[in-house]
Amino acid sequence: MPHSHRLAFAVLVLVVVAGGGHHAAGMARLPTTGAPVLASSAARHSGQEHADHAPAPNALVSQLQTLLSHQATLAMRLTRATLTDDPGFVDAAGNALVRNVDDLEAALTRAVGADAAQRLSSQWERQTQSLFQYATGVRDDDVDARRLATRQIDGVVEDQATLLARLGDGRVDRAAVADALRSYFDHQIRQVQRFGAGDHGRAYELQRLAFAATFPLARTTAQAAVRVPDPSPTDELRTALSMLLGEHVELAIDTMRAGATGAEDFEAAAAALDANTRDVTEAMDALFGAKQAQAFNEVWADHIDLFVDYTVAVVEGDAAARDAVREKFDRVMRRFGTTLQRTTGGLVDADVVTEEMGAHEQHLIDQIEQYADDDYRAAHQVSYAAYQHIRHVARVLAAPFAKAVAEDIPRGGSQTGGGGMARR
Amino acid sequence: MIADRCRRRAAPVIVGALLIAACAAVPPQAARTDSKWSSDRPSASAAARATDERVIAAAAVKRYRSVRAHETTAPPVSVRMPSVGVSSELQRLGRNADGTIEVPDDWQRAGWFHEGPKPGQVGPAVILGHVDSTAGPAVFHRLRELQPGDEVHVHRADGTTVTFVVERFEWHAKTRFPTHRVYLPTLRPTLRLVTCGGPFDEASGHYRDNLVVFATLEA
Repeated sequence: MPHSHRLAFAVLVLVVVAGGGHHAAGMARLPTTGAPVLASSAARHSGQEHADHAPAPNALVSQLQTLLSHQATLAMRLTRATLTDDPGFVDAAGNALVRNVDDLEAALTRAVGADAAQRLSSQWERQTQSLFQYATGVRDDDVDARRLATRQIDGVVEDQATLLARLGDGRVDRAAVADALRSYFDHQIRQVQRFGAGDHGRAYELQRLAFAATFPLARTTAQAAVRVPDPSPTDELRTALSMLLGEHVELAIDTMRAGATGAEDFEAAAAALDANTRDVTEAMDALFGAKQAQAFNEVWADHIDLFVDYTVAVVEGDAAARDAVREKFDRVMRRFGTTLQRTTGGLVDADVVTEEMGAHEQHLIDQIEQYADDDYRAAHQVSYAAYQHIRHVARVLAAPFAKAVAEDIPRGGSQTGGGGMARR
Repeated sequence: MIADRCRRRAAPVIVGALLIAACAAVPPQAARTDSKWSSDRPSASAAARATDERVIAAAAVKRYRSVRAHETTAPPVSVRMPSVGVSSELQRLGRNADGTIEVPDDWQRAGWFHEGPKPGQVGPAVILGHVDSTAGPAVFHRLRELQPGDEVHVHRADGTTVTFVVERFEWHAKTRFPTHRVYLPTLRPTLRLVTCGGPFDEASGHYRDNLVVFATLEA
């Protein structure tokens, strides 16, 4: 967003907030500093630019998967903070969502041009607003507010399906994308309902479903923008790892934050994190076998335990405990490197893994420190960076993983016939 | 242009402002007054209850340990394809010394490539069967009759069954077998069924082609 637009928007927000109270602050703008560099300002607002510098299809798919899946998580955090009436957190989550939509618009401007990208951006803003409104309706037991929000979401589904089908020019089936969008919003709305009813376990299960639903939606959105080739096996593996590791980050953050506040949903968040850990381990089993998967699970579980231990140290203000956990982290991150190097027969560089997992550790530690200090905006910014970073880790691992698996697959076809029928 | 964009940006803010009145009407007791694990409650009984809740919550956090048990998927023991009359126990298959895949040693029994994923795990599970023996039809003789949408049931050692749905089938010359697409990781649990086809080469004693059926886990 150009600085003049952002300034004008900020002024509008200030007027609204000053006249209305703290809840509207959730939709205030982030400062321009710290925004991710996905495209230059000039490129983002030039219709000509997309024709000259259209993104590589698979890169666009990956970028949209990152942004839409994170949007799903941010929307859930916004609605839950609305339900628990936590205006500071609503404000920070709202700002993070605005930034997310800006990044989506930037990514798509290069592919479909400024006008279409802005229309999609507007739809994402409407859906976020509608989910927020639905959450207020649940919190306040306001049937009319919930009905209005549901109608607005239905409208977004129809508008977005129509737009994507039109942009796709035959590559996107309107009915299929509408069904996919309805399914996504159904998960989102039901997680609000269950969280509002205190059924946190089911709310987190629905959170996982909504998160997963964004990945095919991102591919469809990319297909509407550009012609996307069928994914190669390495592409598939990269997507699978991105989904698993990305979800790990989101759920680890939710678990740490719930733990830091002694929130009622801590055990549900931790159970969802455990479910993700099972999926990660299962994926390692499918790739490298049960023995290697178990070895990986040991170090994976250790690093999760340390995140929770660190959270406890932060809450209790125990500096010595913090230092002790950090020292343990150093050892665990080195084990990550050696374990994956051994698992892949040396195709993964242990030092690279140790370094990347160290960055992962730092992100999650930083965000919980900021969260504990009630600096929700900073916590969201670091969370955003943490999410983008772990998807980079998935990209780093996908190629050597695929190569390691490829070394152990059979050569050629199978001799599965004796010729008896051919001779008849 | 600037005006349009500002109007577009203003819309959600205005909607948000309309909601403020509703937000402001929240009863005071619904507002969150506590922070972290500290206690700040108005009445003695409420304070005691809240403190108890926080002590329980803090204990849960300290007690938490990440899951370590790895629930392994049971290996497959048999496969059934009702639409083409196939029902077979499964032999475990590995690789030959030259790197090619082993084939079942019984014409009438299919086999599962045990160095790859198990059916139902994320990734491509591979099951092979002979199309014919030296004298007549074999276990996968009717594999070519499968249609998209047909079901394939794989029974596992723990008594569970996983069902796949046929998506498509492809013919490939063995010299151009799509190894990576058949064996390399997939995002979802998938199944590949492989047998022979095409012209039979008497000199080599083998068929020229392979038939590969691609199936995905039933939704």
